[in-house]
Amino acid sequence: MIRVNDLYFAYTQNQPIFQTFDWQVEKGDAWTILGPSGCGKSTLLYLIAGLLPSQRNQLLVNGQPVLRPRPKSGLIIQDYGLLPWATVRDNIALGLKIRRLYGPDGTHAPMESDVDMWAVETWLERLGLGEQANKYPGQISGGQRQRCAIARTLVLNPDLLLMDEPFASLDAPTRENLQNLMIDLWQQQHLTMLTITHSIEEAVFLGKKILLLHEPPNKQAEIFENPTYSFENARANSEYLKICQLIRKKMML
Amino acid sequence: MKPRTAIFSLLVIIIFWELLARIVNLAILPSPWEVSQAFVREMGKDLPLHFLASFWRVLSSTVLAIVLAAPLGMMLGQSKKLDRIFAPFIYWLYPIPKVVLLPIVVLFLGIGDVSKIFMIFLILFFQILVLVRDQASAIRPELIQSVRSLGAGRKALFRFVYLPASIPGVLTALRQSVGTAVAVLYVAELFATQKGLGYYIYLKGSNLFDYPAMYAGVVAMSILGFGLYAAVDWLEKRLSPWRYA
Repeated sequence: MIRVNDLYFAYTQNQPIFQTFDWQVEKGDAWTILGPSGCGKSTLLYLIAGLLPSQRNQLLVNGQPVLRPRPKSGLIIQDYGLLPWATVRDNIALGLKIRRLYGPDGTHAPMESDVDMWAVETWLERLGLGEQANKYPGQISGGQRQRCAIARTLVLNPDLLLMDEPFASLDAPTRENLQNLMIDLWQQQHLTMLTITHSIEEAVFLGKKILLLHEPPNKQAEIFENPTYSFENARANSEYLKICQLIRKKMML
Repeated sequence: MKPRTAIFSLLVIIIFWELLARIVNLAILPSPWEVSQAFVREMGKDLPLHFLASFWRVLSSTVLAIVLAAPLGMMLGQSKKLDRIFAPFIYWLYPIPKVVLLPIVVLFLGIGDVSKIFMIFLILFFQILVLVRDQASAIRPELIQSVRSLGAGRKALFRFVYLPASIPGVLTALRQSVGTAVAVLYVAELFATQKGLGYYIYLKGSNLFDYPAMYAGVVAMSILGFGLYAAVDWLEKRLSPWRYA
């Protein structure tokens, strides 16, 4: 689904974040990207999201170069990105309204898309936001805001879901709750899911495969397979903890 | 404010006025009763015409100021490059009390409606420009990114982000400057014109010595100012309910 070939990217000249970097993501995979601050994990995600410019053919999603945000990619960010002046319901409907504004033109919305506003109600219920529907983002909790952002993205039926430290500012119970939810949604919606995190535990919980990045320049992808992914009660599993330990050691190197 | 409190405080003002009128006991301070009689009488004559002339000047300059200042403020707030170019000019021009430019404006634009509308426009323009700019620069880039990821191009960003984001700035600017605008309108209407509440008040007071009628004009001008203020208040609750939620 995603092909990264010989990627070069630098914000300032001669200080590349990525150099000769290769990486591949298969359809339906769940990846986490882990690394210290400034390692380029957000940069990689924003390149894939089409929010940063990449060189032609260095980055392909479904065989197409990513020159602008792709209609079938969804992005979820740490501080939710909700419109403060719109209710929860209107925030969830935002993407659909944008699609209605442009029509199915292939650039802003998929060619085959029809705008179904009822889907908003379905997602409101599905993410437990029914009672919050008419409230504003300022009136609900952080966890509810992130649920709202997730609903807003998934109502557009993406095939690729990109998450940039989505739960970093939430308390532990809310965070674990949403992590469980994401695994369920990944299975139910047949998503390809990429999650950026700086938390090892989150990386091992949400990633079937884990990409470890280091201080730039990143020249080679360091990849871990995670056999404990989607184990029942994985957080208490000794295998899970062992993998966390292993990755912690690798990060120290 | 609750309607009951509003009415109560209005009553207190009127009683205070009545007492003052009795103590002073001069023709230049008629009682509220005399003034309200004059007001009703004048409403049957040419007062509504003057009121409408003033109202039209305030309204058209307000609309003009919003239409020009809000998009410009948005642009400056979102583009650091543009703001760097324009900020120094705003720095110099914003604090100038615009009313001192009145004689110059009249010299250039003549004594008709245009100079008066332009005067009020000047005051509102800078106020709106600065407030909308500051609010636009507070829009986080993450918000724009995430709305773009939902498929938004320029058109959708304008419709769903920039436009709603500029509304509070415009309304705050109007709330702050509506009073000044009406005051400047009064001064502007003292200059060679035969229409408008400023002219009316001046004519009745200084030329005809019809003080109750002059006060009726003052009341009409207060109604204009208060009405505009109330309208902004109403719009604010209608257009940005999230700030009161």
